[in-house]
Amino acid sequence: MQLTYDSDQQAFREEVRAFMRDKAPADLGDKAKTGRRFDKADMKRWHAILHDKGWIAPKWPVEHGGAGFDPIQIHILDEETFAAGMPRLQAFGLNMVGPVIIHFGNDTQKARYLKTILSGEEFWCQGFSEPGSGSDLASLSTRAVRDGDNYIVNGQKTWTTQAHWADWMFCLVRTDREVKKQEGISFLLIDMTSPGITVRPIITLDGEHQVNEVFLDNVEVPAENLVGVENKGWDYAKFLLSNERTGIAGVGQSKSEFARLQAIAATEKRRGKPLDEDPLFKAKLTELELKLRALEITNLRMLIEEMEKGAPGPISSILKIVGSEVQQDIATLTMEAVGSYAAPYLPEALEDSWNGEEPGPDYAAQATPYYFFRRKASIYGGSNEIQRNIISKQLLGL
Amino acid sequence: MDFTLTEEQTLMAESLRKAYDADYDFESRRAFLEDTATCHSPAMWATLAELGFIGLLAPEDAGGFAGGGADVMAVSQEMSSHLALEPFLSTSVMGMRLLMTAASDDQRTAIVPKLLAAEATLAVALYEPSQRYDTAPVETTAAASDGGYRLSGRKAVVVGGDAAKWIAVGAKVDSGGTGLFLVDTATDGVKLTPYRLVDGRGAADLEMTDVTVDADARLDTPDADGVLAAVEDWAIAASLAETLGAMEKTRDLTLEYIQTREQFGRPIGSFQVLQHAMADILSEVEFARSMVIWAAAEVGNADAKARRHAVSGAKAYVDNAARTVAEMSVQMHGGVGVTDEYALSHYVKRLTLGQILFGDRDEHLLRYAETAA
Repeated sequence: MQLTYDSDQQAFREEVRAFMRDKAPADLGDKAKTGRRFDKADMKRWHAILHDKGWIAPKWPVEHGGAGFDPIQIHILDEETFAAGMPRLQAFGLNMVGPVIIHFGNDTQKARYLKTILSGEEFWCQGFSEPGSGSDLASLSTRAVRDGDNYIVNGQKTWTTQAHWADWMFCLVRTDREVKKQEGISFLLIDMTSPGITVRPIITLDGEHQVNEVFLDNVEVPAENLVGVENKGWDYAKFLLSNERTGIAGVGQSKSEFARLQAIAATEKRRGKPLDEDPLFKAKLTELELKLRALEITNLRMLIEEMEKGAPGPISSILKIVGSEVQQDIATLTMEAVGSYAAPYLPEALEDSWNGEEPGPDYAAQATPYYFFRRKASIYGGSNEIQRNIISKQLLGL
Repeated sequence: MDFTLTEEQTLMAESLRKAYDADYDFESRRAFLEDTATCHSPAMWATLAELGFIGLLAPEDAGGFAGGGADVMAVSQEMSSHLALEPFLSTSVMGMRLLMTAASDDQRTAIVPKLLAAEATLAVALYEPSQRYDTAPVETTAAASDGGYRLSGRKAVVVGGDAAKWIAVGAKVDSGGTGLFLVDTATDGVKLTPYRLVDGRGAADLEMTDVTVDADARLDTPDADGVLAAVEDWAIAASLAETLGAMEKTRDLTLEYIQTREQFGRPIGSFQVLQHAMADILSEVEFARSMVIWAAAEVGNADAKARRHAVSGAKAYVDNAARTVAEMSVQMHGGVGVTDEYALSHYVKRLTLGQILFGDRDEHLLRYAETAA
């Protein structure tokens, strides 16, 4: 029983650190330090750098252009990426639809889509949730009707993250209404420039435009854009979601955000003393540090298990719950640490276009918007209540 | 990186399970609980001696197993799942660890064989009545006298002290510094006030009034305070594994209960509010396990600060998980959960004891913060 990385893993970490020192753009790192928002251009820039290095798709098999890393290497790369302040890249292409195409797509689809996912030329979004189908995703009602060489798609998707940046959407559609709800769903790849698609922004309470409504009005989708077999889409969606579980704990990001919180707590003062010497604040900070440590070790346990068994089990649902709690706790405590300068509401100060004067220290403007932003963590990717349902059914047999 | 027990450790746990399953069901344990002379089963202690568990931490040339933190975790976790009352924690972890780090060859030769043969037990007194969870002696003193020492003072809640032949005590030596002494509890001037702990195991308060010991009763260490702190950390690592074993059983009993108990015409485990509570219990146990593993992996670290950081961090975390799991499980059992005749209440007592012994949550939050790198 030992919790240290072996010498190969340590050497890999050193290699990643050297790469970050060498190649990570300083201006992106500066943005992360004060919680400024990364825009599409930032993401493309960092994407291209990782692509040049061959690390853009760490989990993909080498024959499809991936790095073929094992779960521990992926974890190390993740930690060092956030430690260097680099952005989390869009998961939709690299971690979601990419693996689905690799496993279930045909050769034409692999040749058409994988290369541009790797290069970052094309952005993807996820057409899963609908106004009437959130936690009960399988009840979705967006319809696709076969018409010659096309499907005609009608319906509405919502909470579609970065649909306004996306070139493509992978979309769950109903192709059979006569069978059990899970057995009438298909997995389509839809060109976002198709006539009949309207993207409408949803501004969230942090003032940010990340999510959208996507309306599909008689959208023609070539039948060749069907992945796998018609009506088997639910299986591919489940594969996609289980694949997504790797990294779901968000350890790397939470460690870097906790370090930022510690720095703020060493700067902000109460009664003339830094907050990290204030007994009440210090107690909360220390308890959170321990929760993060327990998350980190549990995540490593699951990664080792994944290496041995090939796939993360349903136990990863507990990582999702606690991982999101830690993310939220860090954001909450960061807002508390900032004090009264968490009160001015200037979400525009987090954008590149902002030239104004900020009240308060440079880390203050992000604190409250980020607290709001993090409320999403326990809702998306299967709400924490849905995760408890999964644990209860699959692990406890209830 | 490795989070699993070795094959050898798995086999150890299995042999323990067999021994306890054979002779230690819930009813026979109640009889051991009522035995005021020993507070445990002497027959089972003899079995543990035969199986080699008493010497888990003793070196091989002394007839031991030369085990480490993970071995202690495997054994303590398994014993706790049977609610074992035998003095493994006090004698085999605390006592043996103290002898291995601070005793001379002669002292070991005089004591270790008797411990391994289950003829006698050794306890370590860590705290004084007025010092809460501070292991540095304050009111216990040792004065040089006739080539030996004269000891006076009090020690609080000595785990296993009720039946120990020897108790190791720290004392302020008149010539300066802290000394560690092995006190034979039959010596004149030793007064023991024995009692049971919350989970039924034995302990005692120790009062010494001009207790005369030979010079060779003093342990041979230049850093008695460091030895006491290390023994305390080993006790915590073992206690955390006990907590894990008890949490696992608590989880299993609760799951079984909500699957069988029917109300409103169906098993109460079909209600989502209890399903989610059960999911939370499972999660608490798994995250606590990670921290118990951390403590087991680091308790043998030669760097005392790193050792303490991990052990105290784990203790502060696991205490909270144990309280949550214990309280939720009682609630989910309803009235059955507060019944002495049902096993759950005994696991709850052990989980509660674990939060009190060797430093509470606040103490260890402080220590964790103080030992940050």
